[in-house]
Amino acid sequence: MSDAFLGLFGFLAALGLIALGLPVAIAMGVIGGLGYWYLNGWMGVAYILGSSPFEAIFPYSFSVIPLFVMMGVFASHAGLSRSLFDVINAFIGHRRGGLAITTVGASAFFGAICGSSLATVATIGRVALPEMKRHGYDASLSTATVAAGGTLGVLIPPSVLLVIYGLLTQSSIGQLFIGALLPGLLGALLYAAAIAVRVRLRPDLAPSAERHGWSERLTRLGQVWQVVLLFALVIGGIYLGWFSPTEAAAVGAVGAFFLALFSGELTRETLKASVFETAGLTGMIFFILIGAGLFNFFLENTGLPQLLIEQIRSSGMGPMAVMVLILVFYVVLGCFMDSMSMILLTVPLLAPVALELDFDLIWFGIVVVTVAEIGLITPPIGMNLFVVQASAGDVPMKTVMKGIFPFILADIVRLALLVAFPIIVLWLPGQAF
Amino acid sequence: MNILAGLARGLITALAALGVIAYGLAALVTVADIIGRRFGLPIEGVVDLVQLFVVGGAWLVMPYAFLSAAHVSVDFLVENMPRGLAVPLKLFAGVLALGLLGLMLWQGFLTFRTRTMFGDTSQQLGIPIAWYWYPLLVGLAVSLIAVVVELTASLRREARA
Amino acid sequence: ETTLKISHYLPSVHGIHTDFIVPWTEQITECTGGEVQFEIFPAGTQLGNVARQQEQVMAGVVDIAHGLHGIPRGRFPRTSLIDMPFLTDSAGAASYALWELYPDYLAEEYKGLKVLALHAHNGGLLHTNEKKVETMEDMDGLRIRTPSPAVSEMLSYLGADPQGLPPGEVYESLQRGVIDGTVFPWDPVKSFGLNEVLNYHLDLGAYTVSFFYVMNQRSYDALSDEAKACVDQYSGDALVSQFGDWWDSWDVPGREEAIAAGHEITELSDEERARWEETLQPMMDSYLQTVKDAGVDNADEIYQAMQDKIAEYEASRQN
Ligand code: NA
Ligand code: NA
Repeated sequence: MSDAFLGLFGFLAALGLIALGLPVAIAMGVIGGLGYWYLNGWMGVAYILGSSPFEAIFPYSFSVIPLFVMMGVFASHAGLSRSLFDVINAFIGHRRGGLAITTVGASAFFGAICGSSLATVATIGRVALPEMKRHGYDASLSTATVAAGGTLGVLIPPSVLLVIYGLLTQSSIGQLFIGALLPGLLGALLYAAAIAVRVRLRPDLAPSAERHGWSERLTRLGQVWQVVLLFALVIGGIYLGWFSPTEAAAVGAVGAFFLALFSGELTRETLKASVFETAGLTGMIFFILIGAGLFNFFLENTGLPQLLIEQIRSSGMGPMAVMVLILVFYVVLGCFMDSMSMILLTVPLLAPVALELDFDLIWFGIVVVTVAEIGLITPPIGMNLFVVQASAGDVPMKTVMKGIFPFILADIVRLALLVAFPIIVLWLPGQAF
Repeated sequence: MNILAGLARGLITALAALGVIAYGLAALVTVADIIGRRFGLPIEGVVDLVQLFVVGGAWLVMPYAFLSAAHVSVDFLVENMPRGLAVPLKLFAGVLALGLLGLMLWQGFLTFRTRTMFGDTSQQLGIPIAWYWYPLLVGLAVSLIAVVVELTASLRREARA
Repeated sequence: ETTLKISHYLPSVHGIHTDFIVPWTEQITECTGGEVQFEIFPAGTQLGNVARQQEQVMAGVVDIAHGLHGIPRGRFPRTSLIDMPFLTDSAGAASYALWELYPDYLAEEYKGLKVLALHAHNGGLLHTNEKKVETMEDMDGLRIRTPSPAVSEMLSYLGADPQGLPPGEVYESLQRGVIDGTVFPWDPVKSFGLNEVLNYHLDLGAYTVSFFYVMNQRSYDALSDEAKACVDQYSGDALVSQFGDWWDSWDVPGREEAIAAGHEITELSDEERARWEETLQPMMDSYLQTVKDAGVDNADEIYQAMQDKIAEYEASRQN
């Protein structure tokens, strides 16, 4: 069996174990370990089993995950998110699907603080899911909204992915940041449109509230000034240079804790619940990172990604066909690999292909980074789907996956627009430079 | 048996609480550094400390994630399978989890010994690397117990159903 | 036919990958008539972790690895004496000194490994965004990103506030003013696009950082005699003598880009350099002491030998 074929086989075997109901992290870890064993013998697999769990969660930048999760959990248990969503509901609750559309906006906004999709999903999920549930939203709509919203932040600085892409292709990072703005906004608008269409077809998914008067809206707004202050502090602090995006997570966590403390809602019970929710959720996210790490060791060793790229390169097809193949390639690879490894591994191989076909590298970068994130929400394996399911607690995976399709459709529309009209990416950088 | 399971649960929840406290310390150290450096009093080696607390926290909460079955799985295919398959599948999943965790613990211990033998330390403060490894060893060892406790409880539920 | 695995921690667009490792593998494949093939794992692969290169090659997970001596810190106390401040700012000189000292002074640190090359980069610079630095006083309280503990300690002595930060986060931290500057050679300034967010560059030539390129001894022994001869022919002196020119050429684009952008590049003045060296003397003494405490009794001797070899190299270049 050729190595690349073995890679494909391992991919299917992992899917098989997952279909049997095994925890995703265990399935990836076991297949990754067995595959690596087969390819490199016992010494090789022994080394990675001993060292990769440690390395998988060691990077400093991962500290944002538990700290933002804590922020979300405290905000939720202290009733902070409840009052925040009551305000939003007072303003736009009478429009059907308004809370879901607001959640998309909040995710994009949170993307300006946080560079990690998983942390965004876990944080927004803890805040928004219980509230949408309380307002009668169907779980398939609310969970999918949060999972999809998590992918928006990657195009909004801070974005380490765009920096890395700039490094690999020697394109201007400033231009990449500016070029990402319209596609990011477009993504949010298309998600909102997907929600609007869906609730029009199925009004029972999102009941509309009665319309609130302006006096009540303003009274409610006055009650959430602390939460608004916390967000202003976290975002403002980053843009004023007080702290780095990674440090912002700590500011958010400490801030949310003290707000909860002074709101008087932080009882013994809610504190206990907050602690154990944080424990369960972060333990699960970190173990997925470990399992995916093991699987990636195996996948890289099979040379499967390189082989697929070689096929694309030598296919002799036209630019459009190649572009479509590249997009499909990323969505499939995105099942198992994190976006950072994918970009580092594939862009040096694909950028020359893009240049041969006369693609603009800034445009290519925005498209590639966008599509790398889509893998996070496509079934059967999508990290954002798993994290949102864990955040929701009591929602079957079936429900989450059912709700995600309109958002995947919205992403396909976005990619089609970006490919058909590169000007969406290139117009703003053209103005600025 | 019930007493043992109760003890194990107590240990696992205590570790989880300790882990979340470690996260809290990571946040506090960072905030102290952000405020301190405005007054020329930065906390030296803050990155090392944050990593220590976050890595420590992550491994200490790990058993709790196994105990509370927080690890996500895809459920809809299993739901449609015959009832009789539920127990063998649970056992199969449990055995694989134990095997994977057990190998990680065993090989992790060997790697831990190599790294401490080299005298590895953290980059800025020179904290002995062993301090970053103890939580991993404890977390993996107790995770093995957590898998067993959770598996027994869930098989019992299956038997009653 | 044998396939050897090579791992390193740099992105596959870096000169280390494109100018050094890939051509080296091609030479050997050709020399052996295709008997020896290579598979390279750069940054982004699971084998591309900077801290694991030495360990991977020792464990035989890869056959050949290229890595940094300083991460994890303390594993190569002898070799790392080349990190001492103001020893040299020339990649050529530092690489020459390391290779000359290797058989007699450094070999002990590479047991079980076949050392293919040792090298070091050109002297690093201090790059700042808002504040122009010319004297020690200008450094006071500046938040500077640093690549290693040795440089962190040096900056602390000079009054700055060193920050550890992953290289990928430097751009945004500079852009937002979370840090005031960074210590880097020119080459990462170019590859991370930092000239977009920097204004001043102080050429202080105060430190270098060294690298190893090593092969697992068992992997080497398992090769046929012809293959061994090929590896030997293209490694050692053949490689080490090229690093001076390589590092110069990798640094040129960053420097030219800065000049084109109208940035100010300043040399550290001679009087100022003397002040810095004086201020750093206690640090150098304590660094040597740390190395001695780690069991390297002849640390002073090695340090002296490095200085001699560097002088020898500079003298040979003058002629
Ligand atoms: Na972002
Ligand atoms: Na996917």
